[in-house]
Amino acid sequence: MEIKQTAKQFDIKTSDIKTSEIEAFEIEAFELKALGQHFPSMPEELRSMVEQEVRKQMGTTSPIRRRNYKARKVLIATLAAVMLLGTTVAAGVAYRMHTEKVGKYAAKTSIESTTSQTNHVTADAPMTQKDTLQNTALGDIALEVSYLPEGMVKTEDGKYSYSDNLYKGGVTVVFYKMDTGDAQFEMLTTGVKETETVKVNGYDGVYYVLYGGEDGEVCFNQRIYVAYTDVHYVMEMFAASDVPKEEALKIAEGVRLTPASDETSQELVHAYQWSEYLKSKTEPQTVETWASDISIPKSAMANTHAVGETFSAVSVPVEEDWRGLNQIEIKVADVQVRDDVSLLDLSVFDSEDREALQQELDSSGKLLPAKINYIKYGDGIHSLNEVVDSRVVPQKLVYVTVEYTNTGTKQLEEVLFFGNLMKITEENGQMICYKGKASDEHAEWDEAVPQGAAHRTEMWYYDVHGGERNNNYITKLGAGKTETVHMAWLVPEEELTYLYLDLNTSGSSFEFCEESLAVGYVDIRQ
Amino acid sequence: MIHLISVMNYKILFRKKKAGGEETMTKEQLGNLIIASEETMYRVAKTLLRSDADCADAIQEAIVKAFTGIQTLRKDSYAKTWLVRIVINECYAIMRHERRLVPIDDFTAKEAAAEQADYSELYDALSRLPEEIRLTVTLYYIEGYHVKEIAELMNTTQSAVKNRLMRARAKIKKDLAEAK
Repeated sequence: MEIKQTAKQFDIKTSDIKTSEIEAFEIEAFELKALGQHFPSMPEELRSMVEQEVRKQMGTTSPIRRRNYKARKVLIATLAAVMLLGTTVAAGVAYRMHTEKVGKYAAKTSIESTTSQTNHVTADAPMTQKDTLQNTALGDIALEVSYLPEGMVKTEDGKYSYSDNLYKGGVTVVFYKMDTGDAQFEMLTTGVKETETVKVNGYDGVYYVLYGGEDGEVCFNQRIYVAYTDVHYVMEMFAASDVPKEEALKIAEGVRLTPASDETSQELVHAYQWSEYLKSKTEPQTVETWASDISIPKSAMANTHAVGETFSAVSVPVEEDWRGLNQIEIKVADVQVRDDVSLLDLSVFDSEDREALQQELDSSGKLLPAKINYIKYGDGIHSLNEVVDSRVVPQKLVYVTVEYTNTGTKQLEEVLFFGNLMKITEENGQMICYKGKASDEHAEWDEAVPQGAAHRTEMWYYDVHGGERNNNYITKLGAGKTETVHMAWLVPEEELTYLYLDLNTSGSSFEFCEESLAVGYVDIRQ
Repeated sequence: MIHLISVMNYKILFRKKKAGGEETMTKEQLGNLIIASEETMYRVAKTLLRSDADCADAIQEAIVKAFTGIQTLRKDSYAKTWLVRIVINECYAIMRHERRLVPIDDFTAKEAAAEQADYSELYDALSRLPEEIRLTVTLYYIEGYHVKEIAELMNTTQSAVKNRLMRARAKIKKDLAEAK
């Protein structure tokens, strides 16, 4: 759930800007649209530096795929020749996309080759000489999405979403060049609910419906694979639940193959080399110290502050202190726990949050209990994510008064503040992010997810707004002055004994964070 | 209620998503993305830094940081925006460093003198705009980002982006008219 809450932080209120205004911008653009032609071109040595640095970072000496800026008509001729070669060579070997079930909930998509002599060649057969010839001769091809449903717009290369739901759904198209031979393609899709083989512009394809989205949340629960075996490419399309199946397939139908260096098109999706994709899957991945983020030695929290204690906003003075952080002192002056929201100034909420808050209250204004779901994550092959337990628990309002003081001699402007609740417990000398407890102590679950506002650990409410966006900024903080900010959260009552507050002004983490530990959490356990 | 979110949270967002089982970007995919985005990276850097040597420093550092943070990045979402954001951050880091050494007015004058290339009047007019407006114009008119995306990239509001674009248009129009 914290994923959702964080994602929500990115949401810009669409009401901030009207569609007609955006359109007006597009129309009024005059000469500036041509500015790109007037911009200095990138020096060749800088291009070389980029390629060199990328190769260095990838740990490879192989050449990096690069766009080839040739004349369009030459490339079209080249593509035609390649397609012809592909058809000719493919005459003795036919390829078809194939899907087979794996476990209870997964499916493997592959490309099988069949010949007139053998009828069937396994998918992991070595690349034939003909394959090699084809791939050697093959120029780079990109795909172009020529059809989009009404209201869908491009957000990034290969990404499209509905303009009234930007970034939250739509389709994402990925393109693979089968440089190792078509028969090497193999992709495991997990959490598959339905499978259907389809023909897309005459090409073999597979359409999957995945589990997810049943609760109305937008998620990418459709997948389409199309094998362009005549030119040795495969398209993978992720489609979200806000895209009807028919539209998803129409987008796939609308895909056009085109020379990768076609400068006249702005809508090209360039391909990844399949060999590099395979290599990346077998490369040893950098191991993240994930465990240390949710469990630390008790000594690491030595700098924890009590309510009423003043501490600096930074652990060590900032060298280039353009935000004035070195001058700021913070104090949690007071913590109150209530079973209603009478302490809150409801005028600071927008209508959406005000409505959400109302759903947490009964007719007398008291807080309703919170529901906590306990999720057991599946592997998507033999099992799915499952709610294995649910509990309804009383919840409270935690209302904190925080003071920010400018100890310097100059007025500070746009002082960012941030408050994040940490739920921490101690076990065997280790401080651990508290996970929660199920009603059945023997129940196996991975994550407890409170429903409603109780799932949010970042400050849900704050009564000082400022800065350009009128959000979590103190617009001006005069020398020697103190600004008081009230922050609030809804918390399951049983978790009040685990509460610490992270006031790190550069933002906060959902796990233990080195910077926040250095500044010090505030112990607000009740 | 909208919060401003730091780059650190931005990274945590991706890490949490990865923990939820979504695919992260491979080194190959990031490499391809960087190659495909090199012009964008250059234009963004050039908009803020002017000097090609500084642009090279910012882009090189951004590439290193992008690969360092690859574990936090999903392959199919926000990748290019994330990359551009890193470039912008690196440019600002260089600008802060430069300004610590040289008073701003001197800095601007010296940079302008150092970059005596024969640019078009339109580009010159752009160059005379304040840096935040220049960057907004580049992202909108040259790189094709939407107002909302620019607001996110520059940690500001859509209204502010629109205002900057309006001011830019008015100023450039005036400059070009005077030049004629």
